[in-house]
Amino acid sequence: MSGGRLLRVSDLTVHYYTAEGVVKALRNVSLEVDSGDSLCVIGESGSGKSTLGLAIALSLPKNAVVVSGSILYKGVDLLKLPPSEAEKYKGREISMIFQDPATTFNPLFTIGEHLTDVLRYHFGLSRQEALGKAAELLKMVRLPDPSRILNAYPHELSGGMLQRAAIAAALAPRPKVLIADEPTTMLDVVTQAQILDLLDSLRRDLDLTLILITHNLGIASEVCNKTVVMYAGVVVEEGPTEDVILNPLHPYTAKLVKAVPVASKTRGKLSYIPGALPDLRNPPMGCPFADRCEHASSKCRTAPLKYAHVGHTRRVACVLYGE
Amino acid sequence: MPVSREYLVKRLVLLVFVVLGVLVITFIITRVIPARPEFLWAGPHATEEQLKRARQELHLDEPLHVQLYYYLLDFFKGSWGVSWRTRSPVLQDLLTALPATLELVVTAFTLAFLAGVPLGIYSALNYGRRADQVVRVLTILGASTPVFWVALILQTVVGIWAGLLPAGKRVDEYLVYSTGFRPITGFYLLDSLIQGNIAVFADVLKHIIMPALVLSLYPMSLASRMCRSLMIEVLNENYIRSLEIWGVPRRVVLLKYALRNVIVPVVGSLGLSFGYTLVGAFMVELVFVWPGLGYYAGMALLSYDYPAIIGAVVLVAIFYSLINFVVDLLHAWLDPRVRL
Amino acid sequence: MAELGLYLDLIRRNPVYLAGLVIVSSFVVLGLIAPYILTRPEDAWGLAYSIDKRLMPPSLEHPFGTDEYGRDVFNRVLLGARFSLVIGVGVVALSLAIGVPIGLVAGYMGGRVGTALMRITDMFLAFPPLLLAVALAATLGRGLLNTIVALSLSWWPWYSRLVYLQVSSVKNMPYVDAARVVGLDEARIMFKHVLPNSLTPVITQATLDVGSAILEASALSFLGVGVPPPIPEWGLLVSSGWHLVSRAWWISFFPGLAIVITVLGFNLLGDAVKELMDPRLRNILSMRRV
Repeated sequence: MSGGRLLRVSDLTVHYYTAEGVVKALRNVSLEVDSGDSLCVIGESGSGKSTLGLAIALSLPKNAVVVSGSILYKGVDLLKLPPSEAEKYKGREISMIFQDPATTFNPLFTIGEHLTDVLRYHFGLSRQEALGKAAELLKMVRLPDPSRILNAYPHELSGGMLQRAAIAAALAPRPKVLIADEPTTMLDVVTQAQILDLLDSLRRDLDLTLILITHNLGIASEVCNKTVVMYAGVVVEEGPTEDVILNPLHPYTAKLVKAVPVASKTRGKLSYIPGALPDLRNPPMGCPFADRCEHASSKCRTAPLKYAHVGHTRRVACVLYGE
Repeated sequence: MPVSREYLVKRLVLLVFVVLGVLVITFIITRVIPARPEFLWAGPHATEEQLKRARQELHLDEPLHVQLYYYLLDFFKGSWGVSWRTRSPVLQDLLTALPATLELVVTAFTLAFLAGVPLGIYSALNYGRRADQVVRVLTILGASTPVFWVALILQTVVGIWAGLLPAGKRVDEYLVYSTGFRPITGFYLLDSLIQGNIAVFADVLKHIIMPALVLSLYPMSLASRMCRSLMIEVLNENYIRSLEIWGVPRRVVLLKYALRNVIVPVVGSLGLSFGYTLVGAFMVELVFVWPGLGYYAGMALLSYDYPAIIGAVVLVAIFYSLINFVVDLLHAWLDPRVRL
Repeated sequence: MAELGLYLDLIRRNPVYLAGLVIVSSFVVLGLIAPYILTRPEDAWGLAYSIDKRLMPPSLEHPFGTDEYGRDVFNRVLLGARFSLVIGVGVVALSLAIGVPIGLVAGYMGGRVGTALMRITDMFLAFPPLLLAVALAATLGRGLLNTIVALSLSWWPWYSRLVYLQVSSVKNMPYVDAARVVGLDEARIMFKHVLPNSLTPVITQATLDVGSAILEASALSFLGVGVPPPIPEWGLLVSSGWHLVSRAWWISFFPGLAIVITVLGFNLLGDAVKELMDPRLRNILSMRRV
């Protein structure tokens, strides 16, 4: 499974400047991804998971500032690269697909134009060659009738087809890492399953490393071998997916797992997590989950986050697990 | 790429209705609103006889719908009245003057877009920086100045005081005579090139540059502002970001993709810009004595030549509708989402 | 109050926006007090002739020179501010008075009525801006009121459309349904909920349109179908100096300059307001703060 460390995010801190103040979206986030992994980054809205994805893809918006930290990819710190160097990693090494397939493509251009441009600029192909390759790519993502799709405009295709096409475009330059930011959130359940299945088999066939960002634990359990749980801009737990879900360590993770409704004969109350996210313009000093945690103590609120290692593979930021 | 036949038909039908609407509104303005329309039509120096005849010709004693019928009939027959100033049929006057105006407006428009679009994009790419501020103020200035005032100033300073360029008119009559220039299409710039008459070409160019420049100020400012705000918006769109993430070079993303997203709505707004320019032409042609529709209409206004005024208004309005029709088709051709 | 802070940042970034605010306020003040601060009211109102003072170039005594009747141009321009203010506000107010109710009804009722009303509105919009006003002004004849009416009749469709679009979207908002569920009657809903929320963009636009109204009115006056002499409307003043422009440039120059500055002020202010509303700029602005 794992082929050695590919990506290492260390102490990444990213701030957003907004009209309402400076939002500290990521605070000292660290994680590691090995080659061939499929990593899930789980969190609710506002957890910083999307920011993390954009940061790795070197695509943060203009009002975001990387305050500190590093992103080591194959040993190179991507954040320290000059723009001309950084360009070389885009697509070729790291690629990404987004939540809304409808806005991923330019409405004035056909899918074919998008694909051929991506191909031509990476591989110097002629238009004919690029079209041929594009058709192959579309077949690879299990789209029927590639020539029709190539000539179609985005508004003529369904969400599922567009997302597949986006995957084809993202994988066209043969990257090593594919980041998928909530790729199925806007799709129906059936299509969702198909896309996930597609991503999984592509990962195996193309020797991809997958980083899947989602809020859905179910997806994580199906697709990912490793899971990172984020809350309010920090990593609260990390480990093999099965362990994290079946045996959650962090109180937040535990609540997440419990909150998944299970169809059963007996009726019960829906479990939920009381309270709300802290204001990220003024994040609390200690553990951000303290106000919603039943096990919280004064130490939780004041002491800076420290990660405890549980076993070889797991990490959790909680005082419950000692230093 | 091609537009569907249904779309074309739909747009044509709309055009017909628009033209009818224009006619109805002008009917209301010219016959219904005034208390005694015959005074307006026969002129301030009309005799009792003439007034009576005007009442008959305009069918003013008959019910409104009958008047409307005759009004529309007259319109389609081409009897748009007679101008007191020139003493010739209004429609004839207008059609004679039309090419000169078209030449001026097209030149102005071309200038406006050639300068305005790159300016707007440049401004957007330098968002927030000095260059952007400067361009923005300049474009706001361009949209705030009265056309007639700039025309007067330019004409006085460059034309009269400095004598660098001719202060008015379209072409040197003597030059036309001596070189045997003949209008073919009515567009002198074109005609002179066709006949290989460089002297006249240069002369017309010298005459057209000031009025065209003045006329282009407003649409240039509009185009620049529109391009700027569109470009800023587009640059933040997901579909630009995705292409960049997939590794397409920024240059290509900007010049091929983003540019089209900007140009297409700009084309869509061409019609409105054209409308402003047409009315601006009234004033520019007046000041520079450019023998076009605008000059004719402007003189008509100054001398209260009512039939000529209304004739010009109707013609310009119809022309405007035609332009919008063409622009709609163009827009649909460029934007696949519109062709439903 | 965060708005005020952002506005100050905006000005700091581009001091020109301050100019917009300053110009518009000065214009309004001037327009209001002009008749009372004239140094030569007979000149301004066009009541006096001074043959011996004709066509004098700008000097200390006559900062903008004198025209062919010996009247002090500065005074005329100053009084012109009053008329421009009246016309600008008048046109906008009347256009709103006609356009807003139509747009409101059309948008709220929707369906056949709404479409019909909008078709009529569109018929007016088939004319290029100003052209309709020209035809109306020519028909009604010259006059201050006629000019305001002519311009308003060509302007109201824009507001009508704007309101229509706003109302159409607002009426589908959840809080309107909520009001209905609670049992409020339609009229109440329309006035207390839909109207205020739809009107804000329209009002902002309208305030800034005063500048454009002044510009268009000056064009009409220049063409001889707007305000009649001896009213010192700026456009009319420019045209009065037209035939003398190469010899006595000041007669046309200064009134035109007044138009430029005033309209510029409104447009700058309008731009500043739009920038403030734009979320992206707000983000970048606050970046500067830290």
